[in-house]
Amino acid sequence: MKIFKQRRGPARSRPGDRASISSTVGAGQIVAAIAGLVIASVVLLAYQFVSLRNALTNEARVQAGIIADNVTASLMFGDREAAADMLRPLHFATDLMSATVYDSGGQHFVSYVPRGQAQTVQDLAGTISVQAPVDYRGRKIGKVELTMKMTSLRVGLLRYAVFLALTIAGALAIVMPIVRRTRARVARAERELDYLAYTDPVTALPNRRATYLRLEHELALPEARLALLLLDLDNFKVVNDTLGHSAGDELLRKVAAALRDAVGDAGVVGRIGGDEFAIILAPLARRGVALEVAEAVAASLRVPFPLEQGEVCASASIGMCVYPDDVASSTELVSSADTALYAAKNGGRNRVVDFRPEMTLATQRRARLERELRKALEAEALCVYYQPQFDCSGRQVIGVEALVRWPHPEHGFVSPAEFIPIAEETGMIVELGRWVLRRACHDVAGWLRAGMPALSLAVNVSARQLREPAFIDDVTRALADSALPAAILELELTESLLMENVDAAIEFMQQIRAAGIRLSIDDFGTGYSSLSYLQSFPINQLKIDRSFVQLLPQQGETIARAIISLGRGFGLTVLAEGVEDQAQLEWLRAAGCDYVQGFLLGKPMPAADILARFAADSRSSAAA
Amino acid sequence: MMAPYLRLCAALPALHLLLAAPYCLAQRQDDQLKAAYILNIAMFTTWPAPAAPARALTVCASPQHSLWDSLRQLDGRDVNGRTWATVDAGAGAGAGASASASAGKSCDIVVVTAARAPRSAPKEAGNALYVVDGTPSAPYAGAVALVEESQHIRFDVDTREAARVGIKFSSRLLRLARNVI
Repeated sequence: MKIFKQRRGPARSRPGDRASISSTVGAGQIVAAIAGLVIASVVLLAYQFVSLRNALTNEARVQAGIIADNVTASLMFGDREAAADMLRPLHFATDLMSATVYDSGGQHFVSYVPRGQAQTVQDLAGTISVQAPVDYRGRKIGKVELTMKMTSLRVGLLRYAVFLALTIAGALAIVMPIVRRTRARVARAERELDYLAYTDPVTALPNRRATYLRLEHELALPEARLALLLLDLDNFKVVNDTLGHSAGDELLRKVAAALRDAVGDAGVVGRIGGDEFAIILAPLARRGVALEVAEAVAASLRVPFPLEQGEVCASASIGMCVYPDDVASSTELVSSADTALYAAKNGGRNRVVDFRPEMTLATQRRARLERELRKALEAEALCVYYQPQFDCSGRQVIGVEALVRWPHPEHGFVSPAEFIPIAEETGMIVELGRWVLRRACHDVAGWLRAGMPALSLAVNVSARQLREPAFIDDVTRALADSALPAAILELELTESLLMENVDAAIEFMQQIRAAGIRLSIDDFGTGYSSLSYLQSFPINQLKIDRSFVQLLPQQGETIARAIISLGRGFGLTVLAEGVEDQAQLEWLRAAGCDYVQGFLLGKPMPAADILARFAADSRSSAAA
Repeated sequence: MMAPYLRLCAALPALHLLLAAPYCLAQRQDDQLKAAYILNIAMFTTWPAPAAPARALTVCASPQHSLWDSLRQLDGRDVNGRTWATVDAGAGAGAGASASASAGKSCDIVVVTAARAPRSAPKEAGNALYVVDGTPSAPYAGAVALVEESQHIRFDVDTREAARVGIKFSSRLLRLARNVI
């Protein structure tokens, strides 16, 4: 049986040679019914045999008794002739084989054998013998022995067996159509259950269970060679959130159809999760074929899908792994394909990544980092660095941005680009963000107490933190605990973070602003934000993303200039980050940008260095 | 009619010792058989219940009768709860038929030879069963007559005579009888 019949319909049955319940039950029912009937027939025949035999025995006993009574006088007078006369009426007894009278000494007195009756061995085997004493007034005179043959009993039994067989046949003839109908109904229900159990209701593709069963089935075949492609839609969540679930379902159906067309007869497609699909290419002639199919699949998804609400692009990240080239077991196959998929997503999405063993190392490193990060967070082994922000003259420090750093005891500093995503995915970012906020507030409050002028403190907020209901409490408590004025703190939010749920974001921002805290939009211009929202967002500052700044002054001027004028138009300050050379600084100053931040002016540094630098600055200004 | 060997035995006493011994032996077996017949017939015979039931079944015969010894041998045998007792019919009474007839009053069974059988049915037979040994020359043959036929002992039953003296025979007995009157 085949799991997948994708062309014409969904999975109809399970893999391997497992028999369907209805056929098993049907065969079982028939066997059980036949066994039951056979047992019942044997019991009935045995009962009938015993009954007939008892009847024959009783009849023989009665006859023997009558004979015994009749031959009493003959036996006493030794009158054999008269005794023979008494026995003669026995020729009416059809089952009689012989009747013999013995005298009191056990000597043969007279016997009667019906004509044509020859006692053969077989007859003797099937005979019944009964004896009756001949006595007169309490005196034993002799005995009568009757031997009955069982021919008529056998005939009766045979007749009964035939009758039984005919009755059973008749009953079966009546019952069989009903049984057949019931079985058909069970089989239909079973097919429906099977369909429901092994099919994804949205796309009519095999579901996760059916897909993995099919994978096991393919792997169990001798000399199996197959490719597993795991596919994840890149922007399904956005479609689902912005256009609604029905549009999401419609997109999934279109994607499923596109995948089926792209894969063709080369393999099978299953939906294994919300926006995850699996493609099993089996049997696989060579690795190149799998790559071709994977590329074809990726290409088929790059085409926009027309939905009711409009066209949607549904690019996908695809991870691919080949058995037995890359891995030795089904578990490894799935996890390796997943690793490749992860790499594809991390590598910028909308791409096919073929599994390589080093990816497993990367996954292992990631798992280790996750463990160690958790420990580091518990042990407060992380530290906060501060990158100064300047006014556009480049001389005056107006604030700092708090940046978390992880000095690893063995590997040195671990890149935030590596551990921040881990923290984001595992949810540790909430704890991490809270810790950074408290640490930064504490440090900056310390600087203030040390006599430093008030610098603004920018702290990044992640999406996960924003979803925490207690986040605002965390912020206010951090301020209260450190005694840092609220006006000094500035929370940096990303565009995409605000766009996930605009209403909630606005409410959150208003609460933050009401607490006296300032807000800035990080990486402005890289997301999908609608300009109209800028009006409703209660923010104070826009940050031009480093990707635009680094193009300056030869390119990217238009965007940078537009952001600066946009900020000015909305009454917001504009900060450019990632300023690395003088030309960029000059251009920004000329364009009217308010603040700058970058390696050119100051790298992130520990709190102590900031303090030392301030001390040095104050000394130099005092000296001046 | 007497069996030939019976006659020979009676007629040739001289030869009895020398030649007729086998014949006499046969005669004795015949007598024993007849006595056994009488016993068996008694078994299938029902007498009317007397006022004081007697334990003994009195069998009256003459010691001269060839059956005497054989009948005596049966003394003490149980007959349907009664004990067979052979008595001399002539003791204390006149000889001949009258003696037999008078004896009938206290006898249950009277065994007589055909030659000594009464000429007619005895008036005071009581409930005695008259067994006549041999075909009687006189008209009276008793209730049961033992006869020899083709060297077999058979018997005739006169149910009217039995009814007259108040005894009954079992139907089983009647079925074995040569003639039933």
